[in-house]
Amino acid sequence: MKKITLDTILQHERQAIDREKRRRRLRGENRSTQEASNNDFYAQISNRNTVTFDERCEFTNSNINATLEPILSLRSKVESGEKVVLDFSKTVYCSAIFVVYLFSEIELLMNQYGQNTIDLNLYTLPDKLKRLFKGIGLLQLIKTRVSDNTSRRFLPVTRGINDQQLDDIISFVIDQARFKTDLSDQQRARVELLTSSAISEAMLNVQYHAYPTSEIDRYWWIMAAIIDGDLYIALCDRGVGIPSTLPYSSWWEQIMGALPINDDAQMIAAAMKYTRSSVIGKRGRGKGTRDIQKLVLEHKKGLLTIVSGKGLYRLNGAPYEEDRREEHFPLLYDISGTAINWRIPLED
Amino acid sequence: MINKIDVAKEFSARPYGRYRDDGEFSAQRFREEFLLPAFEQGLPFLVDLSGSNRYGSSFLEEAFGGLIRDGITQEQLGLMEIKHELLPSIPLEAKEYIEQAISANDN
Repeated sequence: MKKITLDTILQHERQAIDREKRRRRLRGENRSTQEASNNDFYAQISNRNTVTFDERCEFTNSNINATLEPILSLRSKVESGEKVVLDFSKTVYCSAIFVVYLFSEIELLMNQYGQNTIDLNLYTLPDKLKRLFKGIGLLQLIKTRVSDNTSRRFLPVTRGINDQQLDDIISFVIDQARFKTDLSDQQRARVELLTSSAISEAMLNVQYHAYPTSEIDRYWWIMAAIIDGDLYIALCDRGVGIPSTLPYSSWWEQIMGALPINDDAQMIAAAMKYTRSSVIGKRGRGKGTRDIQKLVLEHKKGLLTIVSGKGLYRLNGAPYEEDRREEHFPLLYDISGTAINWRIPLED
Repeated sequence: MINKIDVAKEFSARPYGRYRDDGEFSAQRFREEFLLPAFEQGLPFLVDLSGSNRYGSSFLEEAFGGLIRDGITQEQLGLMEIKHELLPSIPLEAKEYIEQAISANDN
């Protein structure tokens, strides 16, 4: 299929909406024409139901439930056979962890229910989000004719099953780090070690734990981006979630009883704290979880976010224990999988 | 001259995973195809980890801690030296996993 630019597609959609407006005016539907938003028009001419996303789509304590609701609505509508158009007209911000999770959801739904089930209203999509969605490949997933990303600031979302794409991610990180600061050979090696061990251990966790009953499709999705001077690496899987697998860990019984654990968020927090500070069971399982944290622990402003099952966990990094800050919150909704985000400042 | 295993050149600059099922360049394969045969020779040898900076904890634990689980004795461990030119924390971590495996074995 011949690829065309985003502007060309946008122009086609704008023309379609304008044609529909003219047609309605000629039919004497002036009033409804004025009242209806461009978003309604787009949904009507494409005969779809609209799913509208929140102002801030991010996995923070204050916004995660409102961020997840449209995604749950999207799934429910598609599963019941409806065709859907995604509306981001009210959205001013999308976090990396949200977009990689959204990407995985859309790809899974399209694979199961057909490419044509989900569309995106480009007409009302804010310019900043157009750049982000194109940079990470979300536009190309939905609008298959959009030409590929050429931005240096984004590494598009890719789906994989083992350490595929790790080279691309590491190269991207090193290039961006080098672009911002002069790195000695040793610093470069350290960046590579911290990044590769965090990501590869997160990938291994997906392989080992996320899909215990499935022999195939042990997929993760990963992306990287530079946004406002910070490096974001986000990885998600659509498996059973960390809280479901922890009770089967060889070291889990050592935690139980020592900490109050009443919900998914507390389970994740307990696992993070324990694996950070302890000598772990016979085969060293749990050490990978420590690598996942190490990438932010060495940066004063690094932030690790983990959302899994019905729990949200955040760790603000710092080299010293007393400067670190951890938070965890139970969620209203189960995200059906795990999403991890590392935010690393590239400049002090 | 001491025998040397140059991991990046002879095995892979992209080691990944614990077990053979995890990927082509797993710790289990490295241990079974490089480390254990080196111990069988009974001569001192150097494991040079330089040339790759991608050693996750799972790889290091399974490659080196796994030696104890495979029956390598503390006396035999004296034959092995581990180094990394740029990142001394990597051989230190590998040795830590050996110590932990010995401790777990004793219990």
